[in-house]
Amino acid sequence: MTDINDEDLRTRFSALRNDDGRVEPEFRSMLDRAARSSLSDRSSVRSNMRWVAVAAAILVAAALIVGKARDLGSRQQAALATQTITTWQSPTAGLLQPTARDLLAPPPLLSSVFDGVASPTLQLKTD
Amino acid sequence: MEHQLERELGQLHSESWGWALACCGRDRDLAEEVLQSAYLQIISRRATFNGDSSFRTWVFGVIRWTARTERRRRLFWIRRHTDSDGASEVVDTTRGADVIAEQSEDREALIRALESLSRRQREVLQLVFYHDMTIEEAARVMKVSLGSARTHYERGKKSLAQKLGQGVDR
Repeated sequence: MTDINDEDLRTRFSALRNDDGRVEPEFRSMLDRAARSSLSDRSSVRSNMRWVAVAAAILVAAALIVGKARDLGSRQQAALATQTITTWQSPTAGLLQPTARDLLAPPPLLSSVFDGVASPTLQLKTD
Repeated sequence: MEHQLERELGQLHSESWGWALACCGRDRDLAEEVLQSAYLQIISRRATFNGDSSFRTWVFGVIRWTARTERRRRLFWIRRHTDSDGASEVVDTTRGADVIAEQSEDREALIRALESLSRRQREVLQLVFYHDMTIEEAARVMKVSLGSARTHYERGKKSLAQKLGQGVDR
């Protein structure tokens, strides 16, 4: 087997480099293409950003409209509920209606469930 | 500042082209695309030079990274859009099989021998013998430790010399 040393390798790589140099693209045109590509990238980013901004504005507007609609709905519901609560009467409300005398009388200091039962008896004993 | 950057890139262009070819399996179209993309990243400041290494080492690093990204992107695209037979066809095309056939025998032998090496071995040998870099500089471009680069260099050189020697004997 033939021994290939560092110098041989360098020579072969050098020949490869020369061959590659023959098909080398021009630097300036490549840089110009890169610059153009950069510009188109930027403009596409800008236009994308514009679309994103428009979409965001539409979303915000939609959220505001939905929020307002919900708010209005809940207010109407609350008003209806208040109205029904204030006008509602239980079926036995008539039984609970106090007389004018009961309302004017001071509340008893010591009241008991036996108030009405016990007082006539005690009165009799003292007599 | 921008003009200075362009001037420095221009001075390195031949070497960058050679490195881009090496990173793209010697596919000219892909190498051109990769190099243009790397220039774009540099001039648009998406890749910034912080002075940790030489400008050449940094540019080579950008090219290498861009080539890897592009290869992955293509591989992903191939996997998605073609069956396994189609994929092997496309991979052969990216290696520039048709281009290699046109080249001289020595050049073809060197390219074939390089292709048989591992990626890291191929890279370190290309950087040292083609671009006259030191192993330390090559390690920086490849983002590996100096020890690792040395190992790849020694093994790769031995393997390459054997393969080329066999070719010479034939």
